[in-house]
Amino acid sequence: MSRALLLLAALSASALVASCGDPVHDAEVTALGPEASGVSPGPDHRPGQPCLVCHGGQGPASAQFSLAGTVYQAQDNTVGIGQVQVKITDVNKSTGTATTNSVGNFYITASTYTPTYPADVELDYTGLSQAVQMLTHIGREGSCGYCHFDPAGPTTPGHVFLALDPSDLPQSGGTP
Amino acid sequence: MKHLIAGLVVAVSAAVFACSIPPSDARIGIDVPPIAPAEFDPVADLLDHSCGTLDCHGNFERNLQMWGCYGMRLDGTALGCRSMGGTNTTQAEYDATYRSLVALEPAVMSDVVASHAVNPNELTFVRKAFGEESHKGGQIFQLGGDADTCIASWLASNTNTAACTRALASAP
Repeated sequence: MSRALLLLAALSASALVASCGDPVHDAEVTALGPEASGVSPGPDHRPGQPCLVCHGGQGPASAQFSLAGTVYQAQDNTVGIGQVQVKITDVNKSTGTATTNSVGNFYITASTYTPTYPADVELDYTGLSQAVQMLTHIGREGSCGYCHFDPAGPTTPGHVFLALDPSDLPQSGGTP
Repeated sequence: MKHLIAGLVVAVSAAVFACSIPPSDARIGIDVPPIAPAEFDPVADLLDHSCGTLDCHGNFERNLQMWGCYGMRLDGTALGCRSMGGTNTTQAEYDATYRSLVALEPAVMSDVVASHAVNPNELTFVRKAFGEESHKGGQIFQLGGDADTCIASWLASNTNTAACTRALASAP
């Protein structure tokens, strides 16, 4: 009798734990789809996607970011660009920085820097006459891809880009 | 005689029943803050700038939705304000924001407006914006500041546009 009771209690506890998941978050992760062919999970994976869906603390990724995204060369192409300095300045004037890698991805870990919103972002690139400012502030979301996705429309400005046209980019800067 | 009484009861019941059905075009009257552009647009500009970015209330996922040149646009209007290379908030966008704001808690809104905003923080959006209730975006405005004056004066149907302008100019 006591064994049956213990089994019942264990089953109930398991069911309780299982039911504590976040189905909304699970659906968001699933909606991202599988990894691209030939790209393993790591700094180069999933450019353009909302990084903090998985890297925001709810998993499944273990690394937790406060700000992450992808910078592309220009408005009319989706070629990622490396060596772009991303600088975020929060409402307390505290700043965090990161540099894009060869596919344009960048991230700032939550343990390194977590902004107090609202925050402003600017992009700097060797050879540009001045840093590129994001037109509005960020209110709460650390994934660039949450708001910036293609195609551009009434609810999104499209992907993050450094220049309106690739020819506007300095020749010496180059894309790694 | 019994038939007469029964008939009378039925007739009275029918009359009472008929009177209890509201007409199909009935409307519930509530007090609302002003929608006139001179009264609401300065408030909406402040809210759009401070609350309406695409990751916050410029988003269909929120109960309170805002439209304007700092965030979500209507009808494919170019993103960004004129100073950013886009177009400023349109009247249709102001109207859409107004409807979303007023319809969020219509009964409470009516009470607040009827009382000339004696207690604006009866409204959830006010409590959240001023940090009096849990809010993902944190505290946006300071009590006693220009934004407070702007919003409260609008709810009192006497918008202090100068306060709204100052609040917008100093907003992060």
